[in-house]
Amino acid sequence: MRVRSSVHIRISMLALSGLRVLFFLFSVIISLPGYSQPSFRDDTIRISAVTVTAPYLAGQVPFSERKIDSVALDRFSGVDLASLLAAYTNLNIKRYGNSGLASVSFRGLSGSHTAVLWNGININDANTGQVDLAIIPVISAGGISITPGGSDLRDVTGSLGGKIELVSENFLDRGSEINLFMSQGSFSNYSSSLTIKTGSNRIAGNFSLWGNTAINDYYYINLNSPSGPEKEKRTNASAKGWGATADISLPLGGSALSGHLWINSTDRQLPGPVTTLQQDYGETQSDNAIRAVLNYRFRPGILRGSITAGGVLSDNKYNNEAYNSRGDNRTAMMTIRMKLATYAGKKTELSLNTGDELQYASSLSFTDKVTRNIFAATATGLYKISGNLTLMSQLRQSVVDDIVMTPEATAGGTFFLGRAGDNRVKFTVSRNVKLPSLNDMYWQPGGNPELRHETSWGGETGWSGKFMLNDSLSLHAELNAYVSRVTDLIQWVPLNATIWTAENVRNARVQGLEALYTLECQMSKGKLVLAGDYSLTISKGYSGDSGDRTNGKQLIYTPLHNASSQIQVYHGLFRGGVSANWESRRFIVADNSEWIKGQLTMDADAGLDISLSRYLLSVDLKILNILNARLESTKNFPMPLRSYALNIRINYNNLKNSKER
Amino acid sequence: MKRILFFLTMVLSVAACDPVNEEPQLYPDGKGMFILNEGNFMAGNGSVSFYSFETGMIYNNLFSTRNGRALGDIPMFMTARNDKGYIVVNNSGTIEIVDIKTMESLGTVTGLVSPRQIVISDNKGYVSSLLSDEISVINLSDFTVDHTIDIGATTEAMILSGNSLFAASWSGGNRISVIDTGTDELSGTITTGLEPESMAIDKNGYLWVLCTGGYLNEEIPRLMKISTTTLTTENEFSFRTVSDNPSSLTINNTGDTLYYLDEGIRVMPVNATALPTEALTVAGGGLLYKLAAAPWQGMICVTDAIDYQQKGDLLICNRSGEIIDTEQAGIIPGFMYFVTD
Repeated sequence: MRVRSSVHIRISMLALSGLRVLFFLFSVIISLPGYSQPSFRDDTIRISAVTVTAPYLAGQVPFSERKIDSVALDRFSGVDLASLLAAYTNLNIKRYGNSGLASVSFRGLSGSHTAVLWNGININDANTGQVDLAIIPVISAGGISITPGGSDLRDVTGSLGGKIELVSENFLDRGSEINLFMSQGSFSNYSSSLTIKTGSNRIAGNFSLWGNTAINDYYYINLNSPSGPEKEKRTNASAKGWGATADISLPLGGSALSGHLWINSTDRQLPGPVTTLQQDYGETQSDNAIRAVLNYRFRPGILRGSITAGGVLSDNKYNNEAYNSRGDNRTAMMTIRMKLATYAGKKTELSLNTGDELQYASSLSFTDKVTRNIFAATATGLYKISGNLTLMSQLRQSVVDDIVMTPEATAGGTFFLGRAGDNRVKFTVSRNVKLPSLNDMYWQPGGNPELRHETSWGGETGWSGKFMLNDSLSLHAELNAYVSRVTDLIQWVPLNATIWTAENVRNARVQGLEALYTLECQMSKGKLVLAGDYSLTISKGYSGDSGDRTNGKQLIYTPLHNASSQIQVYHGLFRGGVSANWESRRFIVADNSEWIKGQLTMDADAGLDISLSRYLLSVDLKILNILNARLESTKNFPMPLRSYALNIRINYNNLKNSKER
Repeated sequence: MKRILFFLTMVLSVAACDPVNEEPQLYPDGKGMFILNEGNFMAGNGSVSFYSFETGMIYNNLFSTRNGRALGDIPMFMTARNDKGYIVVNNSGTIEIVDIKTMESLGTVTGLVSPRQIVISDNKGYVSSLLSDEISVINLSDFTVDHTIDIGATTEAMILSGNSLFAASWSGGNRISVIDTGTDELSGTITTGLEPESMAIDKNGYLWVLCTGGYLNEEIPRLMKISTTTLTTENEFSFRTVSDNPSSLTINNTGDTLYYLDEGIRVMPVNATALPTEALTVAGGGLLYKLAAAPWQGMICVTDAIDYQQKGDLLICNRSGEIIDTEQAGIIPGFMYFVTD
């Protein structure tokens, strides 16, 4: 049995009694559908931990949720999720070169503070506590939504920065569609995919298969070459991968059953840093994962709910020839969640989400196999005070193995400023926790089983509005301000001259602003879309040592300013666009004495769509880094200079909705 | 004609006085030492500082200021000969040759595999390697790798005694290879404790070897006294427990007193019969990283890497171990190399 300091755990009687109430409430609620759904009752009996949740009063929750539109998903269907988010959002992407490891962070925190979900289950790796976005192809998701901040407690613990949700597309009663996609790009980069979607009113299914390969010997500028700045070619950076998804949906009267499967495999060379000379350690990594989810939605009487069961098996193999170092990290995660919601009167919606996640991990760097069980229950109340004002409160309690964690809570509200359009002010105050990753706790040497969970207090307020300015012009705009205090940040620090260990050594004070807009202008033969966003992120670290020269300094790899902008024009058969992203300097040293200069990235694309009966041929030319600028988001891991990609898509569709066609 | 001559004379006079070609002096002449700041691993932000014992000041970022480019990733060892400095940049795989008066780059040796230290003998530079079983021999006339010596093990610290080069196999190793610099062939080996990290030769010609006991504290660290003629162990001192982490053995310029880091600075006469039980200066909250004994007035110089993530400090101590000056150096200040004028 693992020993953990009692100092780290705050068990309040209130929390315990609250948990008992939640269990009781859950037991009562779960018994109701059990009469009419025997198979569902059987499931709940077999699996001890369950979840209940509910759909909210539509549009009343005070969170900022942003969806990546289908146009963006199509444009980036041949690349990874990190590239899409870098181009379309102001999220902070840190990647080690063109196909190297990539992480995303929100609001001044790190990649491990970003939760990534797929069809309702957590897919953050239990060992590292984060996801490598470079090995998640955009095509694996039918939809992507982004929620900055940690105030949404419905599904997951630990999203102190924010969360990204990938969902599969539901094709029920929509007809059929087949997509064949082929892409050829610079550095011998090839990718292709086949997607088949079909859906009647009785059954729907999607199937996607994709593969990609890239030699990836690209040009970059080496500023520190012994002979002065030189254009050099990156080597040892090849990548290849393949994957498949399959989805099925079955409506069952008032209920629905869906299943999702995702297989992903990637092999990469990991080139070393470009310092004076390009380094080659003979580093390679392969990642294989199988993810599966079964979801059952039901609606007996005044109840609405769902049960989600899923699992993730992943295997990460690493090899460094130069240092004769190998890694074999395996994780298995099994999740079951239940969501139940009901109305209490006309103005109140109550919901309960409960879930259990069992993590199992092994690694060559662990002394033993590790398991961790995370049970969590969230109770949510939405109260419609008036026609304009809705308040929300959430309470989440997690139990990790036999340890009751500090409760999490969110309180907030949404106030509609006008009855016309979607013009609202929202605000939340929340308290969140994040568990240490298994590597933080058990990696040898240096893992620390005594680590406390990180804790965050924060608040945010924002305004958003959607307006039809005239018959052809629409505007969506949003402005958010937030502040948070994170205590007990986990950091690896030197124990002595050779061994580092994980400790709760830092606190962070984060505050910032986020603004975005989308302006859409319908024209006689097409439309013009302008979009932009900006973020100001002040994220400062502090330690308990008053003499620490890093106190009050911006956390490393967190740009103070980040702005992106896109313009897209559609005219008849033709379309084209330009996107730009600018970020201010990234500090790379804790005392802010060194940094990567601010940089501007610009991409462009142009294409045409030729429609013939039920067939559509789309051809796109993409130019990445059109300014041919030296770009890097991680010091000494440069991105390519200007590069190109030609995409061809052949679409056959027999869709019911003419607009979709 | 006189006007033309006058004009030419004036032009030449002005040109002769033109200070454009004279680079400003980045650091003063006289007694001092270079400090190699390793920088963050893979960040390529290693740098060179100079501490002047004449002015009591530190001068930072010398290489990049003089040459307009970064030094590289993990500069970790330096030596000099005839006003040429040789800076080993480990993770960049290079050796930068510089003018030690100006820090101007004179050339770069490439084609090295994880170089760690360099020892000069005649016109040859012997370079140890963290990852290769070969010691590279550099031709110091043209700064190229002339040949390699396969000794069957990776190497770290090296020290020269006459025509014998002692190369310690630190990373996971437990031996010292002896190379005859006349033939550049392996002439013998010495078995040591696990991971011989640093070495010194005393006034009596004995080789002192500090063995850390291994990365994962596999065995109790020990200090060994070895004859450089018979290659046998004359004496051996064990530390307290396996969790001790002694490092950075060095010796004063008279060769009679050893210094090393072990929860502070430890001082040990070469004729002592036991390890010192007390530290001269307790590390306190700092993270003492490297140590050097100055050739003046018994001064001891120590670097404090703090947390390996920000600029560290250089601590100058007197012979009693009292800190008499603290200067901020670069990130992870490590190896120190003294110059006398």
